[in-house]
Amino acid sequence: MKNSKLAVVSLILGIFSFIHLLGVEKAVLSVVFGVLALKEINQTQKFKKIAYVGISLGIIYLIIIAVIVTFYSPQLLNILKIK
Amino acid sequence: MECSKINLSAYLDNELSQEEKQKVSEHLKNCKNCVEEIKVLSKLNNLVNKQKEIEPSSNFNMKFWERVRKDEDKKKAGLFWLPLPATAILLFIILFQLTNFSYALLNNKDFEVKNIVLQRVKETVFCSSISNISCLINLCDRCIHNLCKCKEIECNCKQCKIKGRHKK
Repeated sequence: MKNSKLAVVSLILGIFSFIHLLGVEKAVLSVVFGVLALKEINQTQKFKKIAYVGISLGIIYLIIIAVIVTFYSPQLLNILKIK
Repeated sequence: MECSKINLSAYLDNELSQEEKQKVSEHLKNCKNCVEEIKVLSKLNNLVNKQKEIEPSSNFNMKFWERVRKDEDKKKAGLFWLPLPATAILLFIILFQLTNFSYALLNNKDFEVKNIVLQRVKETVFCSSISNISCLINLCDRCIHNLCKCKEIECNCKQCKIKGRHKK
């Protein structure tokens, strides 16, 4: 797969991680594809920007999920410890 | 004239003015060190002049600037691996919390609590994924809403579905 295509796939997965089912794995894949696209030295500036946006969306999504899970975790664990 | 102020290399290459040349020539008559130095320099000059001139290839300039650009790009792209460890850390946090939750749920001996939480999880998974932001918040809220007040002995929660936990 050409690296320009990887950058576009990274962007699409980054967007879809927010609006579609099963977001976490899409966010991870968007980061991985974005990094693979950036690995190409001769990548054009346009596709570099697309890859950066894909990576950013993936990481933002993961941060949001990590914050939510960390925020609710103590309360849920506290509930489940009822005897 | 001091030795340090004399440019012997320029003298050898005929780059000095007539007046400067004369000054250097006069100095050389009295200074053995400078004479020795000028001998070494002239030997070096002879050696360099004997070397054949190397003609650069026709695409030398293009190749040279291409290599410079590649080196600069490599330096700029040095941080492009950074998102991967960040992703790994975030994924670890998410999986750790979810595993903690699953472990606590599976080891919970209160079947009523367990069933309600499992029911909420199933409902959420049915309509969407557990990792979808809105559904995840919804799942957590509904679990807490239905169960949180039940841990209190004096529970006034009217929506609580767990029998025997209401304050009567």
